Amino acid sequence: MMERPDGASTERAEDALRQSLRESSLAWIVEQVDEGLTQMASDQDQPPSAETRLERLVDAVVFAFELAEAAETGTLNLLAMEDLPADQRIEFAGIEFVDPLGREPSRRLSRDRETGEATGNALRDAADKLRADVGEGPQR
Amino acid sequence: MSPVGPIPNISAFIAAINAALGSGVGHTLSAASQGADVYEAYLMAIVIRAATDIHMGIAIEDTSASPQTTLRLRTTPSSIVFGNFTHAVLSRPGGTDEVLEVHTGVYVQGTSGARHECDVLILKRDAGLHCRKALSDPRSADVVWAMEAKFYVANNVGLAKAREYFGLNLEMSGNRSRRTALVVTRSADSIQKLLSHHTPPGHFYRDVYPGQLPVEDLRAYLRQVLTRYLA
Repeated sequence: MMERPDGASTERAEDALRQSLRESSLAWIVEQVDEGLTQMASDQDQPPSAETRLERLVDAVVFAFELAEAAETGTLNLLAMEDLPADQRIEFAGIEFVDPLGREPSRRLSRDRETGEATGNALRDAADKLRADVGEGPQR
Repeated sequence: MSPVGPIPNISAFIAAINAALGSGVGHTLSAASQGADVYEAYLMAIVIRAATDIHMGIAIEDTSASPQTTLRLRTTPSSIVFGNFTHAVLSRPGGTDEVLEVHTGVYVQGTSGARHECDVLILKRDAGLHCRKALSDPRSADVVWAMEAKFYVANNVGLAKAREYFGLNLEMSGNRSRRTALVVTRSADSIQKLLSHHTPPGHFYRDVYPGQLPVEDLRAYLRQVLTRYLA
């Protein structure tokens, strides 16, 4: 029989995820989630449960990767203009993102880049399994 | 009842995040970019496609007016004048008369004289040419439309940004017609209420990302902005 997580387990899982995100340069996601949780606490006059906090973190992480992938692909598709007659398209090779102050390396999105669909699916699957863990836990 | 216990799949989820970060999208989600660079590029692409919808001509050029095929965009705001960055040039339908430019991440001088960042900017072509020659920022009077873009990945966020938006709008528009929009991926419901109460339609869009209906709403509104300017 599968064990149900208690509140302390959920809090430990949340702490582990927060720590990992901070170490992976994704602290900004944690900050956004915390802003939302603060607003939620204000709206509901009570702090969110450990399960809700973990669920919000997981949701934000998965959405961030899906959104980044979709925005990259969407931008390239819009500018490729393949729905237009060839004579109405711009000549477009890709996008380069450059720090004006040179503090970070530039990065490039090419028209012919591969999508990250497989990676996104793996992340979603892992999130679904985690949600199943938390969803079976007791309400605090 | 089953016994209480640990959460077995947290390690697998963290491992999946680390794998995803190595896939290339990690650059877009890094601490430096936080998704904002790509989101600004996406909104710029929507402006360009709104222009193609009404048969405007499109070209990409750099700050020295040389034609380019690669969009070279800023990751942090800077002056329209400096650096080898690109913008789009929009021409009147069926002609070669260049009338507008589209930029990302540039500074504009507000009505008070203070400098403000515009995430996505539709600027009068004459003003863009003048600024690059005179080494000056565009003035708010030369702004045709500006978008404040927020790549939110959490719900229930953005109230502070919505309040800031009113200040930006005042700086871009003075007491005349509004010339700015706040465009977000997600936000708290309260922002919708706040913006709906204080602004007419066309100034707040949320759920703007590929596959969502508000993308078409924004594109349609931008067509109106461009059509009105051309009239």
